[in-house]
Amino acid sequence: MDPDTFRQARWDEPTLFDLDEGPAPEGPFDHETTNEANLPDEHARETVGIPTVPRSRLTRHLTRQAQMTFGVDTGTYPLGSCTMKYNAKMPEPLAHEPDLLNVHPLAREEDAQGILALLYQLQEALAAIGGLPHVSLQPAAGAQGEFVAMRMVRERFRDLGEISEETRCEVVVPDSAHGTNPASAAMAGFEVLEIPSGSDGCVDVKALEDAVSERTAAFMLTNPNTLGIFERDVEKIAEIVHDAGAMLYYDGANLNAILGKTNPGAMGFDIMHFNVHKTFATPHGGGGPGAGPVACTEELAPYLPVPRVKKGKDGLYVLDDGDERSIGAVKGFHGNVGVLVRALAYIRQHGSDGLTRVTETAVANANYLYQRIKDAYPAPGEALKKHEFVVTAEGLWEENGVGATEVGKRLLDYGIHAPTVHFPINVKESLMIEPTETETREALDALVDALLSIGDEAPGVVREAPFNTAAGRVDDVHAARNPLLTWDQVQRDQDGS
Amino acid sequence: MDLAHPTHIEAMLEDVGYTLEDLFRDIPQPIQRSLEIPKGEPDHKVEQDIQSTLAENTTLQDQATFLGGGSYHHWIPPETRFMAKRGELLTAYTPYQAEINQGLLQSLFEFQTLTARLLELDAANTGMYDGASAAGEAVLMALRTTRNRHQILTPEHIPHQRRSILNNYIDGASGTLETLPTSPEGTTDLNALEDAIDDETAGVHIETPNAYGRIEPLDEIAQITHEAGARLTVHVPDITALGLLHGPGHYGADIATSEGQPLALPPSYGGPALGLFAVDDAHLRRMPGRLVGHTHDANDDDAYCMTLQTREQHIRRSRATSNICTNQSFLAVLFTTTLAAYGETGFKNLARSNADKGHTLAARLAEAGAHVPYQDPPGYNEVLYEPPIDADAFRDEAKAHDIDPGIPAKHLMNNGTDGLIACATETTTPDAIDALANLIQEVS
Amino acid sequence: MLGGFNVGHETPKKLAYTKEHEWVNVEDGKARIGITDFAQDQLTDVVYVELPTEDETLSQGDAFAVLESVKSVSDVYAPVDGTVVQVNHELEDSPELINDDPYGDGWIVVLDMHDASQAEDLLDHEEYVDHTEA
Repeated sequence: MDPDTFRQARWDEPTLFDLDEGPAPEGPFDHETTNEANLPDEHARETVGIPTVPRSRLTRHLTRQAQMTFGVDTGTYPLGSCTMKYNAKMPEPLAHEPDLLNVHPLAREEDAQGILALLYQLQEALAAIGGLPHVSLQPAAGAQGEFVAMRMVRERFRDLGEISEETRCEVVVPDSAHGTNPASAAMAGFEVLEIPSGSDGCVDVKALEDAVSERTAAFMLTNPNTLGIFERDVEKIAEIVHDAGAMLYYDGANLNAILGKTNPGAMGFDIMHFNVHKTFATPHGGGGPGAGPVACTEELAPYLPVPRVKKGKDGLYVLDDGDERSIGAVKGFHGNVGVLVRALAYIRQHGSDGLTRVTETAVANANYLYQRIKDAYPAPGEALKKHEFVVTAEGLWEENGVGATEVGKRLLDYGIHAPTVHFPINVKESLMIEPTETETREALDALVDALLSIGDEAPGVVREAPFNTAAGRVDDVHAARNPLLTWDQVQRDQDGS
Repeated sequence: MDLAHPTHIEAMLEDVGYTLEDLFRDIPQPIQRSLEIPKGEPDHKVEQDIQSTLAENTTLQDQATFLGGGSYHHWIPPETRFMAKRGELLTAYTPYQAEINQGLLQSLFEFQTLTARLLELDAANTGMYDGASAAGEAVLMALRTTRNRHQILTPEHIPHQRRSILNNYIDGASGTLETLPTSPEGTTDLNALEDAIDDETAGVHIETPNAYGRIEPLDEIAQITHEAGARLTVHVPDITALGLLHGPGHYGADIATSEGQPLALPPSYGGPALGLFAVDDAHLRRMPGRLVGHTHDANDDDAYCMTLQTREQHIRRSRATSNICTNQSFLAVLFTTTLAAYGETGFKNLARSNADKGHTLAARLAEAGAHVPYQDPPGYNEVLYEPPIDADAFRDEAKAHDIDPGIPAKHLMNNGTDGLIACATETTTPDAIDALANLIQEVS
Repeated sequence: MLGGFNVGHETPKKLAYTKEHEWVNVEDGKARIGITDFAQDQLTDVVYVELPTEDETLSQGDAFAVLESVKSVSDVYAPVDGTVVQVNHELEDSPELINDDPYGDGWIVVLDMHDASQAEDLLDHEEYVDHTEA
């Protein structure tokens, strides 16, 4: 494996503001203006500050920016917990169909029957996949789905008269939980209690028993857990949580590991979110948009966000606003519809047989990879992994100062994206690796070779990596000490120094 | 499907001493479940079926449509549509690894700069889920940055779905939403604001141009708000308005949000959209969302990276400024592209065209016999009007003429307002406006 | 960049310490407080410091300052009861002083102690070194 074959484009590309030629006498697109509207003078602005760049130069600017960005379409992207699978190309153009793009969210229901039918199909499919009967498609992302779920749990206990400063005031999470879990619970007004994981990385059932009480509103869990290990005690966990009168929440981030094998409803969860942009392969867009639908039990269904799509008696689809128990809305209109349509297309394309193979292949790839690298990069907990795993670079770190960060940076030189580094925090020098089902054996072997070869490279070289990317090691300490978030702030800073 | 054949998987597993069955033996038998959905279908069949289902929609192309209310139909330049297909940007994750994602980071840095300039504030983040939830985060931030204050004041003419969103965002912080009446001009009643505001008020939340298309008196509102020690949060539902109007920061807003969908992509049944979020320097470290900062690399060249991450959930957990993780980055890239394609003059012309169309629409509706309660001074691209007959009946009647004449106010507002709220943008043709005016005359 | 790997840490003999890695220098009933060399090394480069205000009253164990590195946030706890009489405002513009000179220019606050006897309960040099090696 040779780190000297990959080269990312390296353009010395100025920003749009450096390229700004100043306002042109006329705009490029002639929209009709009549100058009939004379807005009150006190509100009229002279300049906005939009850069004016020749169209040819603009296109080159955009193309160069794309070339200096690394996506799944470029190469292997084993970023743990993010499920960076290859995005099937079939669903993509469907989100750009004029018959979808040109439907207004407040159109008459009769004018939106096509899209409503698709959203209804997706609600049904997600209910079946989650093993939970009721679905809202509104949340814009996984974290918003978590927030919705915590709001619903809070309203449910309010209706039961159980919310007080002493009761149902707390949400319990494992210390290995994704940061969004405690943050979402806190945003919904709960105190957060973190419980330590057992030495095997799994929920310490005894610690959970001690932690839950009438104070507990919910326990948030993902299964397989953050270390990629299946929580075998999940039935017992559900029993403990339910005996305390609390709800069990499933974080759908790791759903790619269990399709066709088990489901959150069967495991005893009351409510969950899906990350459709992870599990059902809509492209991640450099950080969104995604979508985070929520599914729940009969008991919680009245609290779901509205509107939801229902099928009327006459066979027409309608938007249902629920009743006063619904939490209402968390974002505008009906959800990230373009993302949801891609997810539906992916689910239909794969079906029950295909989705089961997705999981089997993802788990096979992860276990193959782990077995190949475990001598150099050992993992805590049991050997059998699900779709991802967490190894430690502690040995390399102790030996020669090459830790998780350095291994990740050096991988970039091989044309492979870094795993998630330094998360979870309960494993030292952690590298969280998720190959997904769409990497070929050839790609997996290349990743193995790269990881092993980094361990043998001169530490001095590895510590200064990367070299083959558009920028050398970026000084994030400087950025945080002196935050410059706009071009104008940079100019002022440079003028001042 | 893009999966290795099962025989390859079996062979690969055999090399490391596993069988496929081994991999799932950790799932207890009582909870094992197979998938209860239909089997997979060929690509072409899924594609054709979804296309033909979507064809059942009646789109903005099929009828003259006057719908706004938070989602706006504007023309999207070809450069933006071209960029929407670039796989490197489309299939990247959040740019945690700065060195290999300089292009995306630079684009987001440009987006932050444009957002700050448009809203006339110091700093902006890389975007929120949509304008409505960005406003929710803004109001929550107002609560968090004022001590022992729990009340948010907002005019009753905010659409009820956006009011519901605000309520959800502030519930956990023990915030309460109190409403202010509407003035005869269709804006926030300033006397009522002065009466209602006190040392319990954490924030005043205003939308401008508001749901009736009116421009709010932000100068006076800012003064009253700041005298009471509260924060002013302002939401601009259609960002194109800021090609003509000053941004909220100009009037002293502490936090401003907007909806960027109008410049990123067509309505798409309401999502995805794009929240813009900007603050003054004093509140930089309290803001939610992802931030990109300018710095340098090992060669001392300009470089960008995500910064001030300690505010965020993956580090501060339950004490984070927000739970936001995945947001709408790709739309931020598209938004930036549209603005750059327009340039300063083009963008100002776009806003001018919208104001002209909105004004023409209001005038024509009034001439044709509709009651237009708020017409002077001119607003932006939306207008409230009462047709000669009941609003729902009129909308039904209009269907037969291939017109969607606006959103019934009682559905959008739920505040007792009658009539329809109509929107005209640069895409609205004079023929469409004629058709709507003629219909009003016909039913009079 | 290489914090944590084979680096010896300085631990002055004349200072008192806490298990949470603060150092305390008591003179005339005043306690000057900072974080130890070991602590700054674990934190990596400090990029931002949130300081208390003068006259704030603290009880032993109160979190009174926040230190941020690029990827972590740590509270600093009051080792003793006291009133804040001096704050090192230099840290606002130069948080790196905590890394560069933890026992000198990187001090954080001076407390006017409410109960001088509390100083006796702090760890001495040897006890602290044992604690960091444990």
